[in-house]
Amino acid sequence: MDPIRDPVRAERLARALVSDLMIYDPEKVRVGIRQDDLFERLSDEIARARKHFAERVDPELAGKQNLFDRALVDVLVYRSRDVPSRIW
Amino acid sequence: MKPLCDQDHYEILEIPRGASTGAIERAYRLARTTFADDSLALYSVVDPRDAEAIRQRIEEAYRVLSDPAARREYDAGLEPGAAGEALPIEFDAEPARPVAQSSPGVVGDLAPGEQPSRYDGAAFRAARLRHSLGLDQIADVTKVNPRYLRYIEEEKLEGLPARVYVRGFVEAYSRVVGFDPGRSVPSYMEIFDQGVPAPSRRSRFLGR
Repeated sequence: MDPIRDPVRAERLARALVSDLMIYDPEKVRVGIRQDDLFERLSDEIARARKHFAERVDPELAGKQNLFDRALVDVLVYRSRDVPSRIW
Repeated sequence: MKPLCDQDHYEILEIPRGASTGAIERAYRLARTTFADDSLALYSVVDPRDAEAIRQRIEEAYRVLSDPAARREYDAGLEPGAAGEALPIEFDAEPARPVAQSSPGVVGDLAPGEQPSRYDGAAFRAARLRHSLGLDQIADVTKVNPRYLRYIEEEKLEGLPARVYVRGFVEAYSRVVGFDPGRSVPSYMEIFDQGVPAPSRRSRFLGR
């Protein structure tokens, strides 16, 4: 399959993958936010999602715009802003 | 990718020129969801004015392509050849894979031209990611609780409600990702029936 070269589609994929992390294990995400160890706690899940993203998206596009990392912050962290945490 | 103004109706909906009515319908629903004004997928990516322009093009494309007479007239005016970067809505899934991971794993991509030997949870997830869709977006379209969609993908059958509901969920999910429900629903329900004892299939409620 051809790699994704359209930034909008790549962004959509990044957000879909990250959004899945929340839906698959919302409690783990909430605890991670609360204890400020989200990325360590979800390191395996994030690594699998990142790998999938890297396999689908043109490497130049994926690296240049930090699309996956932006999705992590925009989706995973931003959607958890109701969770009490020293992050905020 | 071509600028929006240069794309024809097929390219706007990301379908081939020979797309069936069903494929047009599915592509339209998918495009509408993707470019909805409250779509998380667009957050910080597309300027609101651009998104509005895209939505207008989607509506126009659907209006023309869903009307056989208007479509014939439109097709007659198209240049032969390029059919756009077609998203194979009437696609093709990968062969069955081992399923059910406790968290979303890498399931690979669906390769055009392949048909799944069975439509299991992994096939649904792979199809969804092929369209770069999150479970929440599938839930928006189907109105099925994302938890149940997740259970369908994980084949966490004990967490699903009664058979009649699951059948509806699977059918709705199938339509969004481009599976033929005539094939995918019986295939998935076979998995369901094997995993859930018959009395339990009837007695569950649609608790949320």
